[in-house]
Amino acid sequence: MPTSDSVLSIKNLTMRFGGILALSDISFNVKKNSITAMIGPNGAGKTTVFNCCTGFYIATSGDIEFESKKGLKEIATLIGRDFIWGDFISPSKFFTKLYYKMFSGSFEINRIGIARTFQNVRLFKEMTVIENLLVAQHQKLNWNLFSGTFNTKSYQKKHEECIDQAFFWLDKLGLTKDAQALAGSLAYGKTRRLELARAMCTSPLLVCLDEPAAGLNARETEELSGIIKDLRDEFKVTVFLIEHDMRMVMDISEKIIVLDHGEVIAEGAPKDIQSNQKVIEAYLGVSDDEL
Amino acid sequence: MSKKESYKKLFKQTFLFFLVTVFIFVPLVGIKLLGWKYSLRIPNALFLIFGLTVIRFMIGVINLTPRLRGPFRKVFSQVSYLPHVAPTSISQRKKSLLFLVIALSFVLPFVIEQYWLSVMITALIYVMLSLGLNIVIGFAGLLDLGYVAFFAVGAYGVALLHHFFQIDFWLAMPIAAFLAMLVGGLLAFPVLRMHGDYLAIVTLGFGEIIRLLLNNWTEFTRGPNGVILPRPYISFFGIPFDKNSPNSFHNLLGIEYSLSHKSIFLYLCLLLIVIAVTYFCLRLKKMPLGRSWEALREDEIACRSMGINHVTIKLFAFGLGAFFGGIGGGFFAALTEFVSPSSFTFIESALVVSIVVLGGLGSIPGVIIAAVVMTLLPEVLRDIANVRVLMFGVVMVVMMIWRPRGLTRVLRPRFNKTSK
Amino acid sequence: MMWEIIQQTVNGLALGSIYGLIAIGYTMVYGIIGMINFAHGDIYMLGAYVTAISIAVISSIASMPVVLLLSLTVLIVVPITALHGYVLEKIAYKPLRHAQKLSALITAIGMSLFLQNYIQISQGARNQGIPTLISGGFTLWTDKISSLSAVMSYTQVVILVVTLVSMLTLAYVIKSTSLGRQCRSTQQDQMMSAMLGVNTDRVISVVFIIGAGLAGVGSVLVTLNYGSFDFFIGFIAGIKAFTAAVLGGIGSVTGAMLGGLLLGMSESFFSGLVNADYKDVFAFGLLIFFMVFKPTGLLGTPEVTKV
Repeated sequence: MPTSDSVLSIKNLTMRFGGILALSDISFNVKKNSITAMIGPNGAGKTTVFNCCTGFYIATSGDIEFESKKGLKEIATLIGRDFIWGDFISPSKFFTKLYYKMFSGSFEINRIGIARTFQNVRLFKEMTVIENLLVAQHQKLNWNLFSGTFNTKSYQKKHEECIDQAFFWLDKLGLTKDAQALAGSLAYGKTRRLELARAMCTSPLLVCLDEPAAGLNARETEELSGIIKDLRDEFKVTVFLIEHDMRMVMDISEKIIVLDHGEVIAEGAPKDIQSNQKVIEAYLGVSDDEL
Repeated sequence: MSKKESYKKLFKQTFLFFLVTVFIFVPLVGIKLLGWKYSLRIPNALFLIFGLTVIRFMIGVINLTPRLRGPFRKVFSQVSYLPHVAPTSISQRKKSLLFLVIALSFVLPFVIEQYWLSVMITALIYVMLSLGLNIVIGFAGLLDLGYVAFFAVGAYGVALLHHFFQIDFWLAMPIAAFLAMLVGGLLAFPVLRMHGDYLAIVTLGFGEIIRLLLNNWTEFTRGPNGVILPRPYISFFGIPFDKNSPNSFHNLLGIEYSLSHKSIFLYLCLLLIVIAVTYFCLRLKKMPLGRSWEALREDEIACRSMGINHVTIKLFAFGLGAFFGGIGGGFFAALTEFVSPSSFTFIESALVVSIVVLGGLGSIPGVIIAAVVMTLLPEVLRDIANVRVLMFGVVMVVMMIWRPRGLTRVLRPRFNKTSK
Repeated sequence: MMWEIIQQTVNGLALGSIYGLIAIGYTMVYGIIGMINFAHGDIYMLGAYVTAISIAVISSIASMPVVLLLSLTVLIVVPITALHGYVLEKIAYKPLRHAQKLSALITAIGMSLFLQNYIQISQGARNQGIPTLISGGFTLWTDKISSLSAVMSYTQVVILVVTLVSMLTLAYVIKSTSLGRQCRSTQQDQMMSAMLGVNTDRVISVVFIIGAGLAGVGSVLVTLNYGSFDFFIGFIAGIKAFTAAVLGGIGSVTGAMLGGLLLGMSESFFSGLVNADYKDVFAFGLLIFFMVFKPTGLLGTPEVTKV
């Protein structure tokens, strides 16, 4: 099933919270340089898939493989899976797991090239817009305390590069005027765009957007669709998104995955999904023309 | 509601308030325990009861008078200052004011008396501690209530290094500061995964553990008796401030011996270090490390999704905070030339926390001013010296209710597009 | 050896039930508004002073049997500590109900400092004490060789009985009264309870009152047992009671009692068999250990981090 042109492949992913089965044995691929959307009714487990992909949850079982610049990475292994009894017999397994558990964590996921936004916008509210974007670029900066304190040439150069990069994305998303404003003082629509800019500032290969159009009006949604398409075409980024706005999903995505009750009930091109009987059943109550 | 009715309600409320104060103050203020007997101090209680009742009534009256209500609410309502972005350039007035302050602080030790000099050194030590704790609480948003532990490690480090190995202050102080940093890292490990309340209580417990160890491990720390350092302990980089030694400081310079030479020297060294640390802290805000701390305080999950290793960042915050605490401790030992566990109680931690709170979490000038004011005030107003700690408590509560973000606005750095 | 084990068990039970009584205040407040009431330990300290004062006042007015004296003392102390708990919530915590967690925490510490020094100023800094009111006890076990015996003092009997009665009353109130149901529903979901007509402000006040009242009971018992106290006892007792609450799983009332007993027992065994000087270090170490490895405690429910 894994094809060479997929950037993210989810294999038999199962997630359990206590006794609740949130995801049961789901598998799908996200094609490189595409826009893939995940839809489904509330509580279908979409955000759980995202949290597994971006390293905030460790899946109960199953693999998520990501084609990073440094080769194929398995997400749960990278964050450090929980120990099982077998590990205590095999020292090599034990120590690899221990190493990842101690020195790794969800932050590694961003470093291999997956960025995300959040359903409830999570900005650094008491920092300025530009600072928000600088935080996203910290991997590129010089962390040396001495060169930072004395503001050496090389430190300054890197810092300026990052500032320019930040302004580039602000420009792209139409936020240049708000560069020095506090992120907490922005209007809602702008916070969504800022979060997207911040995710893009980490120079990811794959960007996961959790309901990017939620709360936006029709015009803003249209603009967002344009930006997302640009991300794919201009910046060669793969976009993987959760969205409830069907018009937008149908408009921009090449592939749609439909989740219901923690299972993939359909996947395919927007046209196929529109006519899929199972999907219509899952969305019972939503009229045909909206789908 | 008519005016009459609302006054009637006010009287009822005031009466209830009166009853509550009676039950609160009569047993604990009106009666004083004397061994197994007691004595009555009813006037004290009555003073408090009636004073507070009258205040309560006045507030009620103000609230019912439209003309007074506006300005009253303006002053007493909660205001949470949001940070504001730094202006493009610092005004000339501010620059000259800063220069004046620094120049004055260098001249100060030569003009004030010995007693006030040691007060000023104490103030500088508190500035040091507050800047260190500001990193942990103000920047990283981790409430550390065991900060005194690092202060103690610094002080005891210096004292014990002299006691066991006769190591000079200028070597012992950095060692002690690094030791404090190590202890800070040690503490950080268990608390990395905690936040908020749990972190506070664990650090509190940790601070107490250190104090109890100092108290009980008599073979190593000499227990409650403390460690006595020789007087004068500090030297001018090897040249002693001794009165009788032939090649001591005053003989080499050919000036008359004075006790204050030692203190002036200590003050100036500490002042230089404090200025360096202040500059460092100001720079930190624009450096990736400092910015990551602030991002961590704002939203840890978003921080992780940006690829920031929250674990090492927290470790650094604790370590660096502890390092500055250790330096402060080292100077404390040099100032008092005696350390004992009784100097390192929870009250010290609470004092530094209240300084950081008063200065506005994260605002460096605010914290420095607060530290100096909070150490000088009890000295200037002798009457309040015995209610000092009471005052800290009140400051913490009032500040959090009235001005949760401190008395000043936090300044955010401005980053402009580079002109290319 | 046997006598020592029995002796430490008895001591541990008595100590533990007092920790449990204070821990309930922490756990209930945490359960309902999600903050640690740092000043709770100081309410207990304040209770110790009120206990000594009321014993002194009552016995100076009329001499009466010890049982009556103690009942009267409890009747005076509990309302006063409860009132302090109520006022504390009104002044310090209510204005910060929706503020940042850090603010509420700092206020709580400020309140704790304030109470300590208020007592220090009004009652003096030196140690205080009360005379031994109940002396003697049962001999539970006598070692045949060394003829050392394990004794359960009558004071310890009183402690266990009073704790048991308070716990049963509390359990009844929480389980079977309308007030208890309101408390439980507010703990689960404050917003929803408010929408269903529960006066959540009142419920929170009631929780503070119950917590402070039980701390008052605890302070009477401790004063009875140890006889001496100062303005600083609330600090150590507070951390220990909090440890008990964490051990049992914060938010759970049964857990608090269980944690209290566990802490009391382990502490008294540690100080009896290992080293009495380091018993506080041991208790704090236990706290840190639990916080790191089992933050949910014995009966707590785990929290899932929401992303």
